[in-house]
Amino acid sequence: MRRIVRNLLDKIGYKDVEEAANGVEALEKIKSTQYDMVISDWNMEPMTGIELLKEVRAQPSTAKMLFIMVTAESKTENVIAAKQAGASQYIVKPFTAETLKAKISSVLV
Amino acid sequence: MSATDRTVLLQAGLARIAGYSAALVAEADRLISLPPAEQDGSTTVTAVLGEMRAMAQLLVESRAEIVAMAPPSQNGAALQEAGDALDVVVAETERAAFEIMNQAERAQAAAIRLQDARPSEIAEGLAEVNEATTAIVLACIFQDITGQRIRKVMSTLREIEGRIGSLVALMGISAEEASSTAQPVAETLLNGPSSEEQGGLGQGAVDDLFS
Repeated sequence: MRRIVRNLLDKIGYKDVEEAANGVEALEKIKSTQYDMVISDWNMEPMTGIELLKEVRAQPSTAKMLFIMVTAESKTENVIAAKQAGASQYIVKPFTAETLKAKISSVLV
Repeated sequence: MSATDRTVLLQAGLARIAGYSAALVAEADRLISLPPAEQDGSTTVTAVLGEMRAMAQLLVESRAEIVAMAPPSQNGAALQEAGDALDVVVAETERAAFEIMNQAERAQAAAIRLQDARPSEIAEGLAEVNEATTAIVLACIFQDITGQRIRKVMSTLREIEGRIGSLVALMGISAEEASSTAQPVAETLLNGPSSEEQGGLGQGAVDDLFS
C-alpha cells in the first residue's frame, strides 16, 4: 500500500516522501523530523493509525500537523472516531489518484 | 493454539467425559442394586442415585450425539486445509501485487522516456509499454485461482457454522445467551473492510461526515 501511495504522490507532484512501516516507526520519524503532512493507514501493527493520530495530536510540536487517514475501515464509527481524534481528511480504499490529490489540496488550503 | 491442537484437546476431553460418565453410571447402578439393608433405608438416597445415573447417562448420550455429528479428525483436517488455503491466497495475492506494481512502474518509466524519445526509439519504448501491460494482465490471473480457494474455504466455514449451530441447539443454549457472551468491539475499531450491506460508507458519505 505504501508503494501505491508513494507512486500516486509522485504522479501528482509530491516527490519528497518518506515511508514508515507502522505507527511506532512513523512516530519516531515525526518526533525527529519536521514533516508537512502524515498520510497513514489505520490497520497497522504495532500502533494503529488512530493511535498514531492521537499521539501526534497529543504532542505540542505536532498537534497541528496535517494528518490524512487512508483506510479500508469505512464504518461510520471509524470515520467519527478519526474525526474526533483530529484527522484532517479521511480517504476510503479503494481510492483514485484524483481523490488523493483533492484531499491533499483541501487540507493544504 | 492451532486448529489441529484444539481438535486433539477436544477429542481427549470428550473421551475423559465419556470415561467419567460411564463410571458414574456404573457406580449409580451398583448403589441402586445394593440390598436395602446396606442402604440407609431412605427413599431420598435412592432418588438422588437415580438422578445421578440419569445425568451421567445424559452425558454419555450427548457425547455420542456430538461424535455422530462429524468425526473430529475430519473437522481438524478441514480446518487445517482451510487455513493452508488462506495462507496460499495471501502469498499469491502479495506476489501478484508486487508483479503488477513492478510492471506498472516499468510502463510508467517507459512512457516518461517516450515523451523525449527520438523517432528511432519510439518503437522500442512502445514495445516495452506493451510488454508491461501484458504482464499486468497475466498477473491478474491470480484472482481466478484465489477466488476458487476462497470459495472452498467459505464452504468449509459454512459447514462448521452449521455444526456449531447444531451443537449449541443440542446443549440448549439460547440465542440471547450466546450473544451475551460475544466479544465487544475492540477499542482500536479494527473492523476490516466493510461492504455497503455491512455498513461501510463510500467516499461521498465519509466527506459528508467530515464536512
